[in-house]
Amino acid sequence: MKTLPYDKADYTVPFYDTFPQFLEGMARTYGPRPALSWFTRRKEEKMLTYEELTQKAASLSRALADRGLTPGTHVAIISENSADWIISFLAVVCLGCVAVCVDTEQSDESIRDMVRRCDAQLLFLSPTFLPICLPLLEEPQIRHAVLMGGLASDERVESLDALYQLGGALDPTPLPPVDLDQTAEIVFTSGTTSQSKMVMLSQKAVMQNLCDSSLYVNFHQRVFCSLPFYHAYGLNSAVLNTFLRGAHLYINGDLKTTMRDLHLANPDTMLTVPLMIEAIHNQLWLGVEKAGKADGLHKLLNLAALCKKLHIPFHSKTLDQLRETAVGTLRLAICGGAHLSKEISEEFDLLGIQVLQGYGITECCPLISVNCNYANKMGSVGLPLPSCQVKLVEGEVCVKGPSVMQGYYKNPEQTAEALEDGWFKTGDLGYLDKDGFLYLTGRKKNLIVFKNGKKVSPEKLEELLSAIPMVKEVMVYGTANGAFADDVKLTASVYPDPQRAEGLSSYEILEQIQREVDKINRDLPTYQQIQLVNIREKEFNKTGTKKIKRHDN
Amino acid sequence: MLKLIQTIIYDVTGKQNITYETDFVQDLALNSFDVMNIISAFEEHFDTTIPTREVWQLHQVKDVIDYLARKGFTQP
Repeated sequence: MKTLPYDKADYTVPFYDTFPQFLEGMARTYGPRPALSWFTRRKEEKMLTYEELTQKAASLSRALADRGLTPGTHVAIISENSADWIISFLAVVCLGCVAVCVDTEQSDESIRDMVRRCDAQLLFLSPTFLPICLPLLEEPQIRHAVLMGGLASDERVESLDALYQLGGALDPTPLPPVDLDQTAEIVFTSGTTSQSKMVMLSQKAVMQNLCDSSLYVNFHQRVFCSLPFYHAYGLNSAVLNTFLRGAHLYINGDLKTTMRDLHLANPDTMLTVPLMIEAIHNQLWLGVEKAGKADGLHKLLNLAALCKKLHIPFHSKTLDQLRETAVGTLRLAICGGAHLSKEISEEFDLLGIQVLQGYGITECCPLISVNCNYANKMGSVGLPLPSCQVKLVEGEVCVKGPSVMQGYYKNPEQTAEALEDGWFKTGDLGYLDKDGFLYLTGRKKNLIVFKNGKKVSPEKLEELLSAIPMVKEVMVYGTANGAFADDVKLTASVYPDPQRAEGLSSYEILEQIQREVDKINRDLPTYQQIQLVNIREKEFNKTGTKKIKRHDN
Repeated sequence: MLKLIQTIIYDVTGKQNITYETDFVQDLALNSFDVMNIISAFEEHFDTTIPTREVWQLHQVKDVIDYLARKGFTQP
């Protein structure tokens, strides 16, 4: 068990308990500073100061209250990353309502299913998701929708701009206080069943997590985030954490323009996932190889590593130029969501970019541990946060503390399964070293974790594949493959229906199944697509309850 | 058009030997980020926007060519 003594006086940033306090504090402390920037398609930078950001959020809160929204109401946000996403979120949680962060990378039907299950009464939609969610407006529990950007052409849909105007015209009364234990966020997370689970995080839990991380990690001033806001990592650890420190956040939510915006923003700090770090690494080496300078760079890096080991100061203009070309002024990358190879961290370090690996899980708001600017052990996921108690039960990392979730929404069975005497069982296996640094060694649950930090339950994909008539039994698993930046190749092992397969060659069976798999892949995000199908001749070994034995086939 | 696609894919990923049937994920072992970077290069070249949710439908090189043709973009 690891606990560190700490006191609120140790915090280098203001300590808040609730979102209304946070909003008020941001406006008061950082008012005229730039808060949030983004780039248009034409590469123009748009910016809001802390004053403008907080005023817009407060105006929207008032407008929503005027529309009759009361604390506890569920409000779903279904949109790509945008400034409006953040402002809508802040407005909702400052009113004591629950912001439901919908995973927009799912299929249209999954998105509608998530909105139905979370009991949202109001929807914030970007133009992309309006047509997908319009059928939901026929359903009685959903009062209406707000369109973020664009003109509303349906009477059940109101434009966000109209609400900003309404809020601006109302008396600027202070926001009423909200209860510390009020649920602030519902975030979806992959479960070991086919349906994602809805994690409830309280106002106090999120605030504690933000403030705690400030003890270990110092950001610089220009922070880049391309993580999706519907994940706790993107929303809490990146967006809200940047605001807590009064830094300038550059946002991007479209993988297509991530590299472009990274160069335009020219940040000094980035919160990211291994996929992005590896992509930068690959691009850097691709450029060096095309220029025929790979051998020279290898030698230079070896020399730099040797000097570092011997504590000899080393400075190379070539490395500086290389870093400048690849990532501009970037000096700090905070990496989470999946495992990053130690070699890449070390290479970035030699290039002058510190990589701090952290570890989190949605159910813990999400941060559990992180390396510090001043104490970084590569290969570890850092020190557990001061308020996180960590213990290992048969190797499984269990966490207790104020940032642990309230439970899974409408799912007391799974909540009881995950929480034991307040200890959340993460499903991750690991150990603590003598200095208290946490190392992860594997997973107890079946979840497949990708390098972009996203997870998928094999059961979800197996359910889809089982619907193929030719498939009698199927098991999906991730194959480690160093050739991929994602590092995981999704493979489906299929036992075909013997009756349907009768008289067909293996090739014909595979062809039939592959055709159906291709159809299924078309509705899945790229990272969830089945990359390889193999056919087996025997049924799978099964447990007494007829479940496929995942590790015995 | 195939030649242009070959050039863009090589510039972005360093991969070669691209045909109409080449599948980005299964044959080239590209990840979602690589695929998006390729699409982004197409957007830049043709000065158009391909909605992210539609990118999921583009699995093979020929899907991209068909998609661009539907939008009125062709190149010898």
